[in-house]
Amino acid sequence: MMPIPQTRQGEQKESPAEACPLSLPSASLPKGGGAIRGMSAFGAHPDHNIFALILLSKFLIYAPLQNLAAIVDHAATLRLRDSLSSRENVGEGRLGEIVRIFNTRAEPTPSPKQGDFAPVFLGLLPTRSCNLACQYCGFLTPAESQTVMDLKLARDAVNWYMDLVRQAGAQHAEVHYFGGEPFCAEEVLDLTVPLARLRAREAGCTMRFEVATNGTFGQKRCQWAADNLDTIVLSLDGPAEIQDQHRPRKNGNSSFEAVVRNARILSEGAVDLCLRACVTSETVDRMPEIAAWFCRDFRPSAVSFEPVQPSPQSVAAHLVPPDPWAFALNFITAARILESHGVEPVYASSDIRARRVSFCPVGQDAVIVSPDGTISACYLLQRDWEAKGLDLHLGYLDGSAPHLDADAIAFARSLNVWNKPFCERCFCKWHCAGGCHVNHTSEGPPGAYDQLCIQTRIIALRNILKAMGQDALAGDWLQDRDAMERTVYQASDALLDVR
Amino acid sequence: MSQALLYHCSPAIVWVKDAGQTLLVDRETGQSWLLHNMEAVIWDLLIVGYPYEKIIQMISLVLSLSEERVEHTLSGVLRTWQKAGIIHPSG
Amino acid sequence: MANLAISAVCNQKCVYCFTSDHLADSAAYQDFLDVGDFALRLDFLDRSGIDQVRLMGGEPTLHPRFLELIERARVRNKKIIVFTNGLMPEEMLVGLERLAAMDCTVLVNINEPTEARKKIFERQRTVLCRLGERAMPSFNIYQPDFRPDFLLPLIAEAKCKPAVRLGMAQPCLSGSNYYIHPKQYRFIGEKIVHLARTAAGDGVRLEFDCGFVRCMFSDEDLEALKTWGADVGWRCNPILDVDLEGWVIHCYPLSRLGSLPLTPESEAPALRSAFESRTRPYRQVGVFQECSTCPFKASGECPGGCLAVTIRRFRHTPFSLIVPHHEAEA
Repeated sequence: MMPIPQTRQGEQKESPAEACPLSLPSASLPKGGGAIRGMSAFGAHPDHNIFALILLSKFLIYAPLQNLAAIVDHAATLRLRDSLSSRENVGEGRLGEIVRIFNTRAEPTPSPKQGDFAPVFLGLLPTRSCNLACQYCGFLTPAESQTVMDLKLARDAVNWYMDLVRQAGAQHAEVHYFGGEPFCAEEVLDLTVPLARLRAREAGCTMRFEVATNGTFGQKRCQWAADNLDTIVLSLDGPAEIQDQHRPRKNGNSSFEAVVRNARILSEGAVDLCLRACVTSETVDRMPEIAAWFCRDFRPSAVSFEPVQPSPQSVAAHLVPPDPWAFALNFITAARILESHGVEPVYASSDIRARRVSFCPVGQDAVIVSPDGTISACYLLQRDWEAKGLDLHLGYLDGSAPHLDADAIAFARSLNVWNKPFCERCFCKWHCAGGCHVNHTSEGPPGAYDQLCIQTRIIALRNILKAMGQDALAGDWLQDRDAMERTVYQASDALLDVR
Repeated sequence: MSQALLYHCSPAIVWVKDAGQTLLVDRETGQSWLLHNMEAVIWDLLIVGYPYEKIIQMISLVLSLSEERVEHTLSGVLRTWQKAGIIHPSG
Repeated sequence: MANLAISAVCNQKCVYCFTSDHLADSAAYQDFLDVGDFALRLDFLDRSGIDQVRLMGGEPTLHPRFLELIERARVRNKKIIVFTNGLMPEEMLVGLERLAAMDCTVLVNINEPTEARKKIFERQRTVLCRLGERAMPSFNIYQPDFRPDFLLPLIAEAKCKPAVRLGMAQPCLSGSNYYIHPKQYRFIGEKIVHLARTAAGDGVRLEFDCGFVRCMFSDEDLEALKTWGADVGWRCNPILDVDLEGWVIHCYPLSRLGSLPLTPESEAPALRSAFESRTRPYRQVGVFQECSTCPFKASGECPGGCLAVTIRRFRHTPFSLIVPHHEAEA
């Protein structure tokens, strides 16, 4: 990364650029290279990775692959555009330095996965059953299908994955647990956690465990989780009146007290606690209050706010996604509270540290093993993929031998932002990568941004300005709705398209 | 003559799970023990309340050993812990 | 060193106060230390070769005969260290003003000034200004969003010792007080580095109280702290807090770990050794799961953090196990 010195007083006329170094850690990129199947040609155009966003009366020049962000005026923006187009430098000075950075490849362009099958983690779905009746749940399955994973299958899944890790010589392995509610099949965790640890020791690699849970387990189990897992993503939507409306037990009783008790126990333990709150149109304005409460009563390492994902259940319960502008603005206010306490605010698609071709593990060789032994690329329900015309099955596990379909793996790998023309000129493309392949369809003409896009663009831009130390500028922008709309609705963010 | 035996954890025992090991301390005597590998796994399963047969089944699956062999080892571990005063038999 | 409690009374209720367990458990029959008992404390210090008298409480300056206690300590050539919140009677402040700066250090514990605490802060500021070189502010970090900005202007105005005694609130074994959890240490460490950098610009250095850990700071930050004159240290050992009834504890956070009587034969090294022996099993681990494999701990550079935090990691979990068909031993 090449830092750009701040403009000094008196240099305003000669130096129209207030370029600031973008203090971002270098991202680790997936291995890959050479000819990549299934990529759209224009996605490979390097100049479409340099962006210019109108920001109040100036422009933000953003080149994530060069770790560069700069604030320049319109005239300077046009000079940079012309320089990029003609491949001629603009001479010395701040702008010259920016152009030199453009031509320096700090990081290779993120590419789809290639080569040997190498899962980023093993996903285990111990069961689809759950003890809560969340009003927006998109994971409800018929009772007869709520089987619990057989312990031998769980063992085989771990052994298969760790064999892959060992063969690849990987230094690190991860097991993630999804559901339903994973702790409704706690034996699976009690078996696989020590097994995976043992295999990791044998392979000489580090091991990490993560679970997404409703947090209603008993105290002993909670202490076990605090001691044995690395990250717990605990769903807690807010104070009692919100939590119990959104996430009651199956018998209608409150889940609040148990979840709060466990959140406190987990706060005291070694595990990293991530609190995940689902936000609706009714609760969006309470996000800052919820963030403050989380910081006061618990010790999360991260807090994730997610707008409710429409499902038949949420519609029936009249739970509506929040207005994206309200969500983004309240998220940013909540983020400031969290950051002052050393807690990471998470809105995953706006994570500017990410350099990825796929928002989720799909396309990164993730394997999710279901209770019936099927191996999928995604932990969402099959009916949801099929509704989008996708088949994300990869194979099945039979005894200790996996049966994987190479074409299915290739198809999963093709689900990446290179094949989403809609995203091609959006400054978030390497961070958001088009969002969830199942729940977010990136279609339509450039600039036809939907709710996810609007939220993502607002929050990502704030994150960039924060990284630049430009909190005050971000504040000014966030207070000017017209200015925000000009930025957010910009059809193409590519520098080459600036007029 | 064989009979069922009930073990209790000593009330003086406190424990903590660390990276790769479990430390037990007797608050009264100051004695301490480090548990690794199978012993640590047995302790974890006892803490969350698994019964004897299930512990054997789980460890058998983790270590890919026969249940007979696991039971033999488990008996040895329990005897060792009993001698150390970590667990007490009753009844 | 050893801290002598001379008062069980305090006129503040700091949410992080680590005496809460001890005060709750104590069957204290007196609010203030008897002057005769104070003499026995001085004898203990003499036997132990300790040339400091460290007075604490509650709030020590509320002792009606506070100045007399100080005089008795001065007669024995002890340097006076007072841990106070600064909200002392005028008479006591005048008495402290009479001490030479080289003979005493008054650590004035000041919390972040808020609208609600405005009057308190004003009094503390006045005390600091009047004591000047005899005093320095002490600041306890008990929440991650702490704001120490007020300290540097205060030091400049008071012309007190150009230093801040920085503490990190640690838990009593009951966990009933506010404290910083190890998960927050890295974040706290970054803020401390920022404070140290700013303070160095004003010629002010930071002095670290106990409980800080090596891994809170990167190698670069640690070097910078040293460059800026910070008295960096990773300490946790028996302080020897002596309460009003003559019981010696490891330190207030660990008061529930047990106590030893202060007898006419007691000497600090033996007491320290006894506590170290009692706590040795717990020292095998630290505040993080990784402490037991940490090279800094292995080398002795870092003890693994506050022992109260470490001991609070331990659980007692009763369980039973029925072993069927057990073969009775012959």
